[in-house]
Amino acid sequence: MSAGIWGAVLWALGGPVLLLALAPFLDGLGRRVRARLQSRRGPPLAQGWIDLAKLAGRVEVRASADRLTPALPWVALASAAAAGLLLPVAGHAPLAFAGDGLVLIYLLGLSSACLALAGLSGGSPYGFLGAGRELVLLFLVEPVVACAFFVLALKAGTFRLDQLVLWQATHGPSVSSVLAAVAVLTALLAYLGKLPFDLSEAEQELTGGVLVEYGGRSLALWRWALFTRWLVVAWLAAEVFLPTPAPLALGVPLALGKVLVVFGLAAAAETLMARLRLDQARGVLTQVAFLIVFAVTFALIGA
Amino acid sequence: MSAPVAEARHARTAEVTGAVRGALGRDRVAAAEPAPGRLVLEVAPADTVAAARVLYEGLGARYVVSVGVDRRAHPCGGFQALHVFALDADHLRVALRVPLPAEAPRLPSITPLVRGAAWAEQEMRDLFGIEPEGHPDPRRLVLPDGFPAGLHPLRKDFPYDFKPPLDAEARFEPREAPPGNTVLPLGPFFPVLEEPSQWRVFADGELVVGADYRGFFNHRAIEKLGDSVLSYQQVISLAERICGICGCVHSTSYCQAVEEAAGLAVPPRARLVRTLVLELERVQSHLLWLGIAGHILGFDWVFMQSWKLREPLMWLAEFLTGSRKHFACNVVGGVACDVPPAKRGRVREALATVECGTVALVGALRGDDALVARLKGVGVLTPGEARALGAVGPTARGSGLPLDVRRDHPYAAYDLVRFDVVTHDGCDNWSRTLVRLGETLESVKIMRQCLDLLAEAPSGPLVAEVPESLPALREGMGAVEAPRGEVFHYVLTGTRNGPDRWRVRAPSYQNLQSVPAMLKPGTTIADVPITLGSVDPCFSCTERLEVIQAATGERRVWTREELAKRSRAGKEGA
Repeated sequence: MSAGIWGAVLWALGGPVLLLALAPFLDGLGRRVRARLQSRRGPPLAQGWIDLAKLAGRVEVRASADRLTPALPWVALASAAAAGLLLPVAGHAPLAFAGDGLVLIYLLGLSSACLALAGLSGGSPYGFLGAGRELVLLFLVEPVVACAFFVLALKAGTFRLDQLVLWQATHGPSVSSVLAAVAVLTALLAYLGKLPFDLSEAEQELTGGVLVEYGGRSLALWRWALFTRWLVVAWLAAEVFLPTPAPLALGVPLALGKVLVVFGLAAAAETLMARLRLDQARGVLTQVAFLIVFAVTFALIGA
Repeated sequence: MSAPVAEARHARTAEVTGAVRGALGRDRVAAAEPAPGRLVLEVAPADTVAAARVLYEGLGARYVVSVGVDRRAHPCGGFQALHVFALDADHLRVALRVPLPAEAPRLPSITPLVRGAAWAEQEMRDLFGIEPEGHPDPRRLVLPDGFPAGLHPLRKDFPYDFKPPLDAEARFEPREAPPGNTVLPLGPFFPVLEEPSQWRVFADGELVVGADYRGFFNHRAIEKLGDSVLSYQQVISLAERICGICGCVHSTSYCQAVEEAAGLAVPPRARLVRTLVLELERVQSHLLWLGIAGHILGFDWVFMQSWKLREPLMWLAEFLTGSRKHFACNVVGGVACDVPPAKRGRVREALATVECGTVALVGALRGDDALVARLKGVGVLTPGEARALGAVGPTARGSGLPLDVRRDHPYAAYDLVRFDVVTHDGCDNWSRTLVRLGETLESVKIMRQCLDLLAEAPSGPLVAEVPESLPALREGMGAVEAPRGEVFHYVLTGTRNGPDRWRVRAPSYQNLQSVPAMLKPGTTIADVPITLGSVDPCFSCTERLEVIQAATGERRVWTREELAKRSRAGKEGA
C-alpha cells in the first residue's frame, strides 16, 4: 500500500515535469517527419525547445489589456499537464479513481476552451472566426472520445482508466472496442488540432486564428500548452485504445515509444492532406460519430 | 503567316467598319489599318458607347484595355482615349480612338456596358484627368489618398521626378459592410498574398457576402519612366522587371509593340528563341502557382514537390540566358541569346525530367479526393462573367472560353508549332487548376518543336536591322499569352528615341476584377484565399503606374511606437 502511495506522490510530482519537459520534442519530431516526406532536410529534433526559448525572449506586444488574456495560456498549460497526471501507463495509473477518464477529457476540453477564449479576447476578426471553428470541432470530437470511453467502460464495468486497459488486456479485443479504437484514431488528427483539421489556426486563411494576437512569452506558453496537449492525446490514444500491458518499469519507455509512433504517423498523415473546410470537417467527424454510435450499440448488446 | 488568315482579316475589317458606320452614320467614323490585324476607328466622344456597343454586343468582341494618351504637344492636340477590343476568332484587334479636348477632357464611361473596363477608366481619371462620365465607382484607384486633386502624373507637363506633398489627413473611403456583417481584412499584408493588396471580405460568420478591393499600394512609376526618360532599348530592362515571375512576357510584348510601330521584321531564328524562352517561363510559372495553391490549402507536400520539379527549369533558364529570372534576352528587333546545337541536348534532358515529374504529380493530385473537394464548385466564374470582366488566360479558359493569344493573334513562332488550347468548362478553381496542369505539358511539346525547328532554321542574324531613329508618332500593339493570360502593351513612338506613351495591361489587371464575381453566395472564408489564388494574381504586374507610395488605407493611424507603448502599458496593468 505504501508503495502505491509513494508511486502516486512520485507520479504527481515527477509526471507533469516529465510531460512538460518532453512535450516540445513532438514538435521537432513532427516537423522532421513532414520535412522528410516533402523532400526537405527539416529542422533539428530539438526545434520545439529552441522555438520556445526564442519566443520566451521576445518583447511581448498585447492586443488587449484585460486580466483574462494573459492568464489563458497558463490555464491551458496547467490543464493539459493535469490531464497528463491521469494517464495510464501499461495498465497502471497511480492517481486512478472512478471516472478519471471523463475528468481527463474535461481537462483536455478546458485547454480547447481556453484556446477559443483566447481567440475571442483579442478582438481580431481572425481570432473570432478561429474561436468559432475551435468550438465547433471541440463539440464534434469530444463526444467521440467520451463515447469511446463509454464503450470500454460498458465492457469492463468500470470508468477507471487503469482497469479499462487491464480488462482489454485480459479479455482481448471485441467488435465494439475495435470500432471505438478506429473512431478515436480517425478523429485523432482533429483532437490533436492538426491538418486537415487545424482550422482554428489555419495560417493561410486566418493568419494564426485563435493565436493571432499572441506573441513573445504568451505565445511560447501557448505553444507549450499545445505540445503538452499533443503528448497527452497521443498517449491517451496509444495506451487506452492500443493497450500493451507490461510491468511499470518497462511501461514508461514502452508508452513513450508508442506515443512517438502514433504521433509520427499522425504527422505523416497530416503531411499528405489538404486542409478541410469547416463543413467538410463537420462531415468527416459526423461519419466518425456514426461509427462510435455503432460501437456503443455493439457494446450494449455485448459484442 | 498563312494566306487564309490574312484574307480573313481583310474581309472582317471592312465588315467591322461597316457595322460601326451603320450604327453611327458613315461620316462619323474614320477608319485606318495601321498594321495587319489592326483596325483603328476614330469616333467622337458622344459616340463612344454606341460604337463600343456595336463591337462588344453586336460583333462579340472582347474588351482588352483602355489607354489614355496626352497628345497636347502633337499636331492633333488634346487628349485621346483608346478603347481596345479584340475579335479573337478573326485575329483582329480593334481600337476605338476618341479625341478629347485639351481642357476638361471627358467622355461617357463604357463600364456600364463592359464591367471589365472599370479599372482602366478609373485609372484614366486618376492619371490623365480624363473623366469617364457615369462610371459607377467615383473613388480613386491608383493615386494615393492624399495626392493633391487636379494633378495627374501621366500628363506630359508633370515631371517624372516631381513629388507633390501629400495631404496626411486624407483617408480612403472603404465600402461599408452590409449591416450585421463583420469585415475580415485580407491584407494589405496577408500571408498567402505575398504582395501588398487589401481585400476587405464581408462575412456573416463563415459565409462571405461581399468584398471590396484596395490595391495599388506599391507603385513604381514604371510607365512614367518609360514615357519620359528611358530610350527604346532601356525600357526593355524595365519592362522585364514589371514582374518577378514572368518578366519575359512583358519585354517580348513591349518589343513586339515597338517592332510593329517601326515596321521591323524579326528574324525567324529569333522568333523561335523567343517562343522557347516564353514557354520555359510558362512552365516554371505554372509549377510555381501549383506550389502556392497547395500551400494555400495547407497542403505543403504539393508546394515542395512542385517547386522541386520547377528547379531544373530554373537551372535551364540560367544555362540558356545567364539568369534564373529576368532572362534579358529580348532586344527591339530580335533576341540577344541563342540556343546553339551544343546546348539543345541539355534542354531536352530537362524537358524529359519535368514532363515525367508533372505527369506523376498531376496523377497524384487528380486522385486526391479531399483536394478536389476543396477546389470543385468553388470560385465559380460563369463564361458570361468572364467575358464581361475581360478575364484572360487560365481564368477565362477555366470557364470554357477558348482564348489564347498564341493561337488567336500569333506572334513569335507560334504559327509554326502545333499545340492544343486547353480549356475546361467547370468554371471553378478545379477547372483553372486543370487548365494550368494541361498547359504545362503542352508547353513542353512546344519547346520540343522549337528545338526541332531551330535545328532546321537557317543560320543568320538574331536581330533585325534597326534604323538609327524610329519613326515618331506611330502606334504599335504587342500581346503575349503570359502564364496568367494576355499581356498587352501599347506603344506610341516619340521623338526622343523613346516611347511617347507606353501602356501596360497585365493579365492580373483584368483577372483580379473577376475575383469578386467568383465569391458567389455560399462561399466560405476558407474558400477566399484559394479563389483569389486561382487567378494566379500578380500584384506587381498590376501596380506599375504611380510616382508616390500610398500613405495608408487605414481609417485610424497609429505609429509603431504608439502601438507598442499601448500594448506594453496593457501588460503592466495586468
